Amino acid sequence: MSTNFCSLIGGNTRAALCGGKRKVPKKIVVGNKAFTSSEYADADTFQAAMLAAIALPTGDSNKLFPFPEIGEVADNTEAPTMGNLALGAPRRLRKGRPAYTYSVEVTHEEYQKLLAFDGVEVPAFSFDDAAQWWGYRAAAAANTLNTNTYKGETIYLTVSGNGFEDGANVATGVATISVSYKSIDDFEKRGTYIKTPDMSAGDLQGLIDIMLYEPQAHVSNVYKIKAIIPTAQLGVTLDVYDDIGAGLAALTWTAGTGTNYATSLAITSIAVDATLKALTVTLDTTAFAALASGAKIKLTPPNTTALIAGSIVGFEIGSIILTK
Amino acid sequence: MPKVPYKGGATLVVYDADWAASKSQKEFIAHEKHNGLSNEQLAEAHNLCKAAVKAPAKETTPDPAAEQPTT
Repeated sequence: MSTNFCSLIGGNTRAALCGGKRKVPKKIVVGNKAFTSSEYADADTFQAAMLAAIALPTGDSNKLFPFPEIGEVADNTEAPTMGNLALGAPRRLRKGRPAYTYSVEVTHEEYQKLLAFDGVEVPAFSFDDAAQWWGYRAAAAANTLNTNTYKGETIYLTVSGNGFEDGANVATGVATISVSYKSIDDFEKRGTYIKTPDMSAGDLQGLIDIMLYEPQAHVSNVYKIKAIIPTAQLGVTLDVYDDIGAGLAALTWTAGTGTNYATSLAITSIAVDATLKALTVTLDTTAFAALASGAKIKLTPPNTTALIAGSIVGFEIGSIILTK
Repeated sequence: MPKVPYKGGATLVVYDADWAASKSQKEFIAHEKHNGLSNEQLAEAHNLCKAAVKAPAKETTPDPAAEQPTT
């Protein structure tokens, strides 16, 4: 029988050799995706699941958004709160929360897209320079067998900076991504990682938004649809026709009308129009004739999964509302 | 829904084969002539669509064997 509690404080303190520790962050990937144990069964499976989550369409609850590659890290972890009685030894009263500031070099377009995440609370995975993904065990207890879902740790995220450079200091003109971890426990006790040796930060790229518009008025049931990438530079849009126009025509588009656009309309053909550098979308004449004048038609392009299957990688296309 | 691409000169048109196969050749040509293909090319595209869905053609001659009286 022990005469004290000291042997009952914890367990043995040594861990197996060659384990991982948090290294230099290269990317954060934000979103609510929780990986199941079958999805992180091994590195290759997890890598595929991670890339699939990034490729999901915006609006999917499992969508993940990769941020730009980190160029500089500042550890802004809160200092612990200390105190001592007048005659006592100083002791820690409260742990400081982990917080980091990441500097990234991005274009103005990319910065504007990042601003959508300014001031939000969102789960985030961190990918470090040892190819380790850091998140936490999102269910059950810490240090249980690997059957918990694995999720990004919740952070407060702010985006700022990206102003003018000063011509002297390389750190000026960069965008600043500040992350502050909400739960110390999730970061420490429930924090966990998976190593993906074959993955690099460059594999984690966000999608580029493509916008659809009508370059000219429709003629009866035949609509001209043009696909472009809008930019922050005035007078400049990027026309994707030459690169992926034919590929887009070959994929499945859908059209719907009525309440919530739930009534489908047959798209009988999609042709490439080399003159307008657009697609010619033809709807079924009979169904179109039955619509009232002014009826709205939602034209839905192939989603990201279908685009990838059609070898069009790295894009997401928004829907367009047409009017009869 | 199978897609059937048809390239006639510089014109590439991708058809919904299910829809095309449900139409007669005449209906198909009338509906799709605006894309710049000739009637012959449209007829060929229609045949390709029907083959893609392996659907019985709307204008197929009835099978004589099916009309034999049973004994």
